[in-house]
Amino acid sequence: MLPRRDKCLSALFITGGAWLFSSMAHAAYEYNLTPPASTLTQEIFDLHMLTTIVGTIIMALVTGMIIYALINFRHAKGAIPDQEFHNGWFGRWAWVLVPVIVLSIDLTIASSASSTLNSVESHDKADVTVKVIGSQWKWTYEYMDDDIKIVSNLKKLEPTDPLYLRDVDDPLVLPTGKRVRFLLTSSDVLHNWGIAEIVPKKINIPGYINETWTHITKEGTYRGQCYENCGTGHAFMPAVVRAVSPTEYEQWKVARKAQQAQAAAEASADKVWAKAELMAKGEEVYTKNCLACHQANGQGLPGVFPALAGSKIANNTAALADHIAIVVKGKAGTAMAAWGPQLNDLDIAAVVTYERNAWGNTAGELVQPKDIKAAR
Amino acid sequence: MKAPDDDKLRKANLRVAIILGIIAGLALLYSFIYLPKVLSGGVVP
Amino acid sequence: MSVATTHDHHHDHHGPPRGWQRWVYSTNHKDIGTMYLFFALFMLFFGGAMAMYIRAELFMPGVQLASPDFYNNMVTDHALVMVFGMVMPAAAGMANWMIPMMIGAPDMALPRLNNLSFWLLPAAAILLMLSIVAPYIFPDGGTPVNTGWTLLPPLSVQNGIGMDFTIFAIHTLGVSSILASINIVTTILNMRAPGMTMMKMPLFVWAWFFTALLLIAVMPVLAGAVTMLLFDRHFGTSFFDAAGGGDPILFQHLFWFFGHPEVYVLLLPSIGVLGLVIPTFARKPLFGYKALVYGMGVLAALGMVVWAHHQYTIGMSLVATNYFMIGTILISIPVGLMLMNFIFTMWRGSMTFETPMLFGIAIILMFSFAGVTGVMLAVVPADMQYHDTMFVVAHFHYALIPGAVFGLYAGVFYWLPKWTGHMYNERLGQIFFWWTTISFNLTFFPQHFSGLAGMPRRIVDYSIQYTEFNMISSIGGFLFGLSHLLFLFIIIQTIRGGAKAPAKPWEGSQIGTPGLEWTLPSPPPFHSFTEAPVIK
Repeated sequence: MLPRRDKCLSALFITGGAWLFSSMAHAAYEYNLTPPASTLTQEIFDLHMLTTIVGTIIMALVTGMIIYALINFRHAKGAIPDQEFHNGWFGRWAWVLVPVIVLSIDLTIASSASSTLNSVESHDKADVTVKVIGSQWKWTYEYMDDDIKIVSNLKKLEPTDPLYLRDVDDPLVLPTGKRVRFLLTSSDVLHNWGIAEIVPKKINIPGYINETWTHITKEGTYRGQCYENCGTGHAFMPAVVRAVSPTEYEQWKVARKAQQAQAAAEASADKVWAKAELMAKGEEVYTKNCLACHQANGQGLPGVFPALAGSKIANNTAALADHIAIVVKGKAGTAMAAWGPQLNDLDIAAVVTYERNAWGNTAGELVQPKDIKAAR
Repeated sequence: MKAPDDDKLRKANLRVAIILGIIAGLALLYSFIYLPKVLSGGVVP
Repeated sequence: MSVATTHDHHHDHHGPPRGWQRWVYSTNHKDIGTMYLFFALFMLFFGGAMAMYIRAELFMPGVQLASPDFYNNMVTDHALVMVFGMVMPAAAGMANWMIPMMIGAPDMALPRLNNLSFWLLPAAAILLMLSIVAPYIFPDGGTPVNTGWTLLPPLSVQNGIGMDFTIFAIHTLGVSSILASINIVTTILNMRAPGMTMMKMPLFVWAWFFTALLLIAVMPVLAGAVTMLLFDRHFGTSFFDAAGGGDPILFQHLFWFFGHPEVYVLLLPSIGVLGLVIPTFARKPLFGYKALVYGMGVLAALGMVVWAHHQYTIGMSLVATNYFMIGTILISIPVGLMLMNFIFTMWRGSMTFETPMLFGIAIILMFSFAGVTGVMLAVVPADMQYHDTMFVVAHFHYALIPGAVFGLYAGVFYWLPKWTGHMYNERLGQIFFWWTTISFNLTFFPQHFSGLAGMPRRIVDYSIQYTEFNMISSIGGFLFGLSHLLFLFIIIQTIRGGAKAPAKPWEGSQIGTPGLEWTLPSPPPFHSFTEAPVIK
């Protein structure tokens, strides 16, 4: 054949192969696994580096052998094929040699992997336990030892913002230097709460509880998202953890509890709310909980999520009870969740009021917290 | 000589095909082996 | 070996019927093989168009082209079309064409079954296409199939009518490939010419033997799983619903019990093609034929017992996790042995670099790389970091595009002269090779980085830190897609004319590959081996 073409060929293979594994071994920040910020992910990171380096060496060997063969065993160079090569001692024993070499590499990797796996699966006593509930499409965090609950929604930003799809309205707050246990579950479909810096992933399964843990070593804000396809809003449910020092964490807990107690008191008070107050509160609740499906203009997504603007229930005074029932108890067989356990009376009253008065809906009633209490 | 309409060969082919079909049927059953366990609710923690 | 080698169709029983009847009523392995190959070619462009849409949507952050549900529907169907509609039919087409010719059989063992297993495919393809449009044309069509090809409940239970069409399409595809597999195993066991012992068969035949056995064993499990899904959706059962005493994870176990062997179903035929291409162009016999045969057997067996490595994050017991991890890492032994044997086949050979050989060498290199990332992914704690990121996407595209698709390209170029009687344009073939190989790497190599940085798969929109990687990936993807127009052109050009191909178009063909296909003229007569050849 043409020698020139062959030269060109091997040159391309050399550069191609070199590029292939040099970029793999490139230890630059953004080319490698997310830098760890906890003891456990550090251990995993080291394991990742071990397999990467072993893999790079193997690729270098394979590429080297192929390049050597391409240079030396070419027809164009007048190479004579050795028709008995496979019958020599090497041909008779290669099927033992190759597996033995591969097996020894395998066992090296498997033994260190196994010990790291033991750390991942250790169930030592935790200082803080957080239940992470995935639902379409937001995260709810419940602190099991304290009566604190956080609902974490996507913060809407423009696609040019550095934090686009990376920020939430209300992040999870955790202390550094403490062992934190996560109990993972879901309220509808599979989700996967993943923040690579601090925690190895386990999926959130409806009806089941999975467990994982972390021991954060550095303060900072860590961002991840949902890693198990959960439908329409899968790309839009970031998970954010703010790791703070233990003292700051204690202060935050106190402040948070006071805030929650105040909101609860407000909701259970027998106050009669004015329309403007309910509408403002309702819009806030709607944006946080309902907008992902029913959209900002209340039009829903045709064929997928029903429109609220112009809907029969939201425009008919007789159907108020139905409206409240759907919000409180959900709608069987659809993606509509039961909001009763998740929102307080005031929130539900406000959002129902909002839905019956916004986007040109004409039902027009004001719903008060006591109506919801009665409907529960 | 072997030809596709050779009766003996046809029978042999059919026999192999039926055995393979039974294997496929068993594989289908395998997927339902979990069934009693699932229906009895034994997998719920 | 003297065989009937004339072009004369009136020589034996009869020639092909004319017109549409030739194809619709066909029981001829060559015609059915041709139909399989054209079907696969069509689906290649169908699935490729979906990939082009996916890359266009991911070109930059923001949702630009269609809704998130449509995007994930395309992700689902890209996978289903490429796996069931493209790679498997293409490999089955090659099996239909080549296996009877290699082992000296006049036709497949069960020719009418062969016809049925092909004609189920267009039906399945139509069902799959309907699944895309059904949510829009039916009132209350519900959500499109936005689950990804794994169809995981409970999300798939939430889906609309499109999911039902998908389930029926999978049933149809499953029946088709089970029937085709039964046919192939029967042919290999019963139809070999006298003297063609099992251990003399070309590697491609062995590869398909294991592939077919795998399919027979695992395809029904998928059928069972999607049937349960159908019941959960419509008949009030709760196989996969924890609220009713079921288990959402059960579906994952069933799916991956099928899904992992399926990977080897896609890979093995191409390994078989490599086992012919490399010795041919290295002009020396295959190194370690026996080791390769047993290696493929071990690979198939191991492949059936490591399925849960796709679901390390579901929270299995420590013992089970360790078992699946070690089992998975051990797969590198047969795979390493195979790749090494191919390199040793090139060793001290006398190589020329025609298009099939170029693909062959590229496969060894890139598939080794996929093997390396495969071992990385097999390591459980690390996988908990990689799980469902683009790293996984990059890994399996490196495994399946070189491992399966490039193997099929190598096969197409290797056998085109035999099938059509014309030599393809070698220069264009080589341009096609470099174009696809470079653009393929451009597409999928950056995805390792975006995956390590944490970009999830199956997302319609991503944060701006991943923009550069995705732009490179998209540009590579468009080039990769475009290269297939050249592929189509080469195939049409070769069918329509070109230099006359001799019976043995490759100087080294048949060295160490004792198949009988090269004893027939190019193109072979409509009915070959009506007199059984005898191998000494």
